[in-house]
Amino acid sequence: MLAQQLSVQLGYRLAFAQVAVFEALGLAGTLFYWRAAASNGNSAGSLAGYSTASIVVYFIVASSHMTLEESGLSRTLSMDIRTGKLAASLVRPFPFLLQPVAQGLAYSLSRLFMIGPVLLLIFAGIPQLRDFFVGVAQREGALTWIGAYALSLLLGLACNLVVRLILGVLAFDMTQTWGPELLFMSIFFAFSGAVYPIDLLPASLVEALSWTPLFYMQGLPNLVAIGRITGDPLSAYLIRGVVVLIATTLVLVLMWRRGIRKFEAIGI
Amino acid sequence: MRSATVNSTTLNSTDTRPPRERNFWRAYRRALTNSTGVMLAYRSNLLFFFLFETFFLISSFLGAGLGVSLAGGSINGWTRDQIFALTAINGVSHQFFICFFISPLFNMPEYIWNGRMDYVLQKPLHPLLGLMVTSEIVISNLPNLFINVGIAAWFIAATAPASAAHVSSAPVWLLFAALTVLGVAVRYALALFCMTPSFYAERMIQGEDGFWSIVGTGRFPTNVFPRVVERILLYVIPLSMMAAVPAGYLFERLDATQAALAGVSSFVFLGASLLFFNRALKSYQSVNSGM
Repeated sequence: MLAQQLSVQLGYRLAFAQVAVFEALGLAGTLFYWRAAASNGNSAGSLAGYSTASIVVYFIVASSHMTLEESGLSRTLSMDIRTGKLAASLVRPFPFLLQPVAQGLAYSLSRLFMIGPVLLLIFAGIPQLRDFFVGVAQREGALTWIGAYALSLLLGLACNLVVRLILGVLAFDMTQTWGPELLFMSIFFAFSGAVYPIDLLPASLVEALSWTPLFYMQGLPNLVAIGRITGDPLSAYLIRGVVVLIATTLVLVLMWRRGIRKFEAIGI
Repeated sequence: MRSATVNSTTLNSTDTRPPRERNFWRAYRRALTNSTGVMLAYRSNLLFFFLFETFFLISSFLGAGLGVSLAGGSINGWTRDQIFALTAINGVSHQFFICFFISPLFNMPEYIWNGRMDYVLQKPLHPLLGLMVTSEIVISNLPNLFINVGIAAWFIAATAPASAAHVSSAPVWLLFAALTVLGVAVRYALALFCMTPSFYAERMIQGEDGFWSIVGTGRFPTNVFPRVVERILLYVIPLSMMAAVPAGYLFERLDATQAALAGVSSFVFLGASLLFFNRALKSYQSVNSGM
């Protein structure tokens, strides 16, 4: 199933190439803006502890993470429930929820193939960024840092997947799920760290957000990537993230079981 | 019923506009009425759209403000107020596009895929106009359009004392307005370039992703880019016209010649996108390959 989903994602080579080029251009725009901000930096050279290099890297990493997250799952699931097409998926001899999981994973992997080389070129080709990463790797230990980043990224992608599915499952009770989706997106942009570093918010608010999936979808992987969260606090956040993921998954499973019991496969 | 007679030849005899144009505006008024009715029927969606755009607006300003703060108050000569005005001008262009053009263009790949484009082609209008009268007009974004206009006006006024003579000149405002309108046209052309490949390849629906990836490029001051990239964004693929050129001209970061050349380039870009669409349309096979 995963192989099939990957082939779907990679099979439309023209679309793949178009999106790859455009995403690289979009990333380049962000990069140039923050590079200019960095080169105009004030004498202190920092904002709330952010160096110019770290803020540039933060925004590149944040926009890359946005690219990796499959945002269309909720719409697809919602539409399948609404039209009754979900019935066709239910006859397959394995749990339905595995299918969107495979789809989300394939999406993230295919996107990683697209933007990975671009990111490597950017990070290796610009001396200030390369030096920044070398500094973080030396300070934290390269393996520890890369491992922590990989874990936090996986946690973030998993949280994204579960949250998107919860939004889609709302279609069992609602004709249109646009509203909740848009509400979620608005909260996501404001409080996940996608548009600005989340640790610039008051500490108490960050603490509260760390009990929601939002923090792990963007904030934590971004902050780990630039070495802002390390050591014991990082371990605590990772454990808390797993708890949040399990709790969110339980909510999804409960909503799914409740919804599927009253699903009539007729559609509208 | 009068609203259903867009194909009729029994129109008001005093209307001297060509039949196609008359057809379009009559049908578009009806589409606007229908869209308003639908949006008001789904009032919760209206509220959610508004909340989404408002939060997104706040996030955009926080991001832009952070960059300027980090840079110590200005980026390559652009002050904080000018960057905020640029962000708001981009917001105006973005919201205008969402309100009036996003549905016709972003629905097109699905129409081609499932054969529904047949229905659009039967209308006595150019297909792009036909798409406009068969798609939703997203009136829920109108409040944020006006909010962005207000924010842009606020920050333009705040920055005016620095270049009072320039900003108080009527021709400057006229050119600024023309450039802003051209910015929407470039946004439209970019979307058309992203969506039109659907005629050539099955399910090129990822054009939407491509559009959203690149469209933000226009919100950055032109001089943050390397010289070559800056010139490409001004004169070859004029994405900077979407916000940076109007704002740059108003704040004297670009002179009138540069702005005019970018304007010419925008017309060429729009023309090329329309030619591309017209050519691609000939590939339409009226085959329902999806859903």
